[in-house]
Amino acid sequence: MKTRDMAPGVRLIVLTCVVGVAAALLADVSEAREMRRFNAIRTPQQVAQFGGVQVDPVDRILPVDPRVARDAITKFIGAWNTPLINSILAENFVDKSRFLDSTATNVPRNARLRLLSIQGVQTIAQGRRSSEDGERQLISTVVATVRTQVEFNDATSGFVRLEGTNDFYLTVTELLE
Amino acid sequence: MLESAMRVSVWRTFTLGLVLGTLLSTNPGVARAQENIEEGEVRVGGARAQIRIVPNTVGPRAGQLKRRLVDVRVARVVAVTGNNPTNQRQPVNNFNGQEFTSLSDTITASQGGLVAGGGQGLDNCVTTVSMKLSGTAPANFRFASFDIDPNTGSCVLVADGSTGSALIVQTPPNGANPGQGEAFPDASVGLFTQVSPAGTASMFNNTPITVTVRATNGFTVAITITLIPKGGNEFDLQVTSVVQV
Repeated sequence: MKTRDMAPGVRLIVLTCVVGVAAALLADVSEAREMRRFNAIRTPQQVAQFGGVQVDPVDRILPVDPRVARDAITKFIGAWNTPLINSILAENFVDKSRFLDSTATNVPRNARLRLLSIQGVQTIAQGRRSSEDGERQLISTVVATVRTQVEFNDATSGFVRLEGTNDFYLTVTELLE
Repeated sequence: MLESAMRVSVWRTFTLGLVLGTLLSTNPGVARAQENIEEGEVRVGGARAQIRIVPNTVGPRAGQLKRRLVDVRVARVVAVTGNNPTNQRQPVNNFNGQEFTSLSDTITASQGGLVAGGGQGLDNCVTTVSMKLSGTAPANFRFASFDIDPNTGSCVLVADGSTGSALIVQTPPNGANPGQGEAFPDASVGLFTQVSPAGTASMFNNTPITVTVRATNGFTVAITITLIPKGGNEFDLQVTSVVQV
């Protein structure tokens, strides 16, 4: 049946629906344009997670930019087996001085650490505190799963590479302005 | 006349369509995700369903304080598998929690081989020991104890109750506790606390139990043990696994 063969009432209804749907489509053209990342599953706030620094836990975690964690880990990888590593490790890093000593004595001088991958960067804890200068700081604990490979040449074993996967816990300090 | 009626009809159709379109676009039942949506909760389709909007990861949002990075430090590294380049004693000669004194042993372990002597990791405690009398406890009591260094992950199993920073296994249990034995970290040392099971870790003959303990620095270990009776007051303690969790 053609449109002109329809009864005027039916034609009116059909035209109304067509115009209505067209108006609805034109009225709102916004749509979801990105996949939003999963938020971290909150864990109980513990003072120890902030390296012994007393902070007030926040009600809602504001995730730290993953690029911050990636940059810090890349810096750590580059500084491994060099004296620079001291400035990247937190003061409360367990047995920090022993690690620095054993790095100096037990690690071949030509050994280097290669970064293979960084996965699952998550902000797992966060708190606020005021610094001695009265500035408001946001202290976050960020965890990332990192695959690394120790590489060096040994006189008897030849080229040696030791792969490993470790969870890196980073303490990130940000200033709230 | 007919032309005038047609004009009215078309105009009415257009107006009705516009109204219908406006209603459709503002109806919450057809709400769409929009850009720059704020953090919070959005109701879709009345009270039937809710979508939780998480905060944007990059950059501050409207009304949010600006954040400026001050410092990033590596606070802790927990070994998952393979080499741990931050092992405090052997940054290179370690693999899967074991430490080695020679590179050849490390390479053997990294290639899946077994290293005689077992290194100094948690696997050192995966064995079976005959539980022994303690000098201070009653004569019918038997003990075996785990000492774990939370900094290096090295484990030592001692067949008496003289130590046991991580876990002491005792038979018979204290007081009216059920089972044939019980396990607990040494509270007088205070290095480890029991995470699970909640309450008394009661042990029954030939029944494995996993006890999880956590050190003050966060180093957490799950120890799976079985009490094996040998007759009378004598027992073996079989350690099936000691793994970091």
